Amino acid sequence: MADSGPDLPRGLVFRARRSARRRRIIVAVVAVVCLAGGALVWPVYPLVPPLEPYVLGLPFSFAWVVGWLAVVFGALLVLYWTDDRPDAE
Amino acid sequence: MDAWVTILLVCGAYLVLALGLGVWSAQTASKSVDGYVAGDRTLGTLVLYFVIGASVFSSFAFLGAPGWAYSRGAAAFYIIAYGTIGIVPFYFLGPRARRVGADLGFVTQAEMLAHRYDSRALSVVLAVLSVVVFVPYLTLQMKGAAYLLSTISAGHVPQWLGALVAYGVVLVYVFAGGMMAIGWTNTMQGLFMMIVAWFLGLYLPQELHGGVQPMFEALAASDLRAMLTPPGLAADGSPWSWAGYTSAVLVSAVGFSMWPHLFMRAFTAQSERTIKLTVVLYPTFQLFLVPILLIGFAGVLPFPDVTPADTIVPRLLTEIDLSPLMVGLVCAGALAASMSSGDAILHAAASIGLRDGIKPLVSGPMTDAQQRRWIRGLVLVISGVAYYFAVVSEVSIVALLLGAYGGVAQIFPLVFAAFYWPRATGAGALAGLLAGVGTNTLFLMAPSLRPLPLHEGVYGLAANLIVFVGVSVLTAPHARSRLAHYTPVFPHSETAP
Repeated sequence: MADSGPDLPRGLVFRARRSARRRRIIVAVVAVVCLAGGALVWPVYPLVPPLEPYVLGLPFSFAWVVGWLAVVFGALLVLYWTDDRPDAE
Repeated sequence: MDAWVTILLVCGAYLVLALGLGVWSAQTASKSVDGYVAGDRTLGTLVLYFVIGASVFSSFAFLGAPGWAYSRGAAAFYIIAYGTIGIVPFYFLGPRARRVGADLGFVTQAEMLAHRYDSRALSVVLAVLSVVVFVPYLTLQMKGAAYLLSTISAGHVPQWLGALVAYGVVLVYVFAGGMMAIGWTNTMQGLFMMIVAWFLGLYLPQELHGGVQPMFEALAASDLRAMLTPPGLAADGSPWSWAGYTSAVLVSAVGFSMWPHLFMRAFTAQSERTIKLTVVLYPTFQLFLVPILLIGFAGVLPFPDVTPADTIVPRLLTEIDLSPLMVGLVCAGALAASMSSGDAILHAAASIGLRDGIKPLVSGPMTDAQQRRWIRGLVLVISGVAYYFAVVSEVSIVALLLGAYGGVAQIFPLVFAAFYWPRATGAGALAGLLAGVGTNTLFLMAPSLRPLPLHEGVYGLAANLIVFVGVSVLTAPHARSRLAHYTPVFPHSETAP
């Protein structure tokens, strides 16, 4: 422990080297995932109509859950594609 | 030829295929511990995709999940909900774990945490926790396979024989090939599971109700309408509470990527991009829960009062007019679901048992050959113990597994802080983990003590976080040279000199 100095950060540390654009994308994707999490539980999910309208044959509350799965999939795709850029890391 | 003979022949053909593929793949890995436990860190996206998907979905996929839809209705949507968000943290944690693993030679989650927190005690606690969870988990997989084979053979294959044959195959290929055998068999099994689920999930509503929407409309018009209103029904048939549903989704999502046998797949990936792409594609595997739940809903009106509810799929298969060949394929798919999780659990339990339980307690280094012998010995022992609980013992082990989800979630703060909170210390991590698992177990055993009707894991996580942060702040931080492997703090820190 000899080399641990007073400069050790006390809070959480996220990677600092990313470009501002990359940081914005990550924040946006994390926000979408949090939104999805919120939409799938109380207090938002109880407001969703349980049955109608049916979507692809599924009751609306079922389709709602599947829909957010698709949204998260899309957000992750964006995260992955933009990660390919040379300025990403 | 009797129908059950045809069905068994199809299942037998599947078992021979899995055995051949598994044993063949043994030659594709080196004889090192890296080769046996982490596939020499060479797995590509295709194999990793199926390894993760097929390991996540166990015999629960074809027995438990349709049973939830059948008996608890909309409550089953929770299974889709938690996986949707639960996989996301792995996009960020997985690549970092892979890098540290490759740098320092780690093949298990506990090894990495024991190094980051400089604590052998932590490694042993995690090893014990893993084995305590994995033995009942493996037992349930064996029971599922045994039950399935006995039901579809009209009792001609007794349960002891079904479990012995299916898990004899698993034992042989895990013993022979380790991670590579799991990789290749899971690719075949995962593909098979998806095809069977989509076929059955679309066929049954069509056959029994004339389509998916007519099926739900008929349900909504019946006196069972309440089951379609989220959050569905509790296990006793009364409406489930929103507090119960919400906390179950959140705790399961937190624990999802922390399962030791899934997390250690980060060490098998050939690159960081591979892990990221696997996480991105995971929702396409998860989507197969939609037809899985449709299978359960399809049984509600035509076959009321099937108990226990998780026997609804074998029951449907014996009641509907489907050719024995198709029934055989469906059964093989369900066997694949059981075995593709069972092999991963068995392999992980043996690997963790040696690397994190035994090796830290042995003085002096162990050669790769010695380690492989130990792991293979543990594969045999753990299979034997699980088999004993599956067929011989009358002890109920379901309760043990129920507690596991809340317990596994307690690892999340440790993994997260390992990468993002340099101030976290070994004393804090160990104390937090013990407080979390202890609190979780207490409220699992004594539900009446809960202040609010929330999942026991919520209380565990609260205790875990308070103790983890409190003790970490009060103890001396770890050396910067150690932390630098996990968090790029120092050269970039604004307060650095």
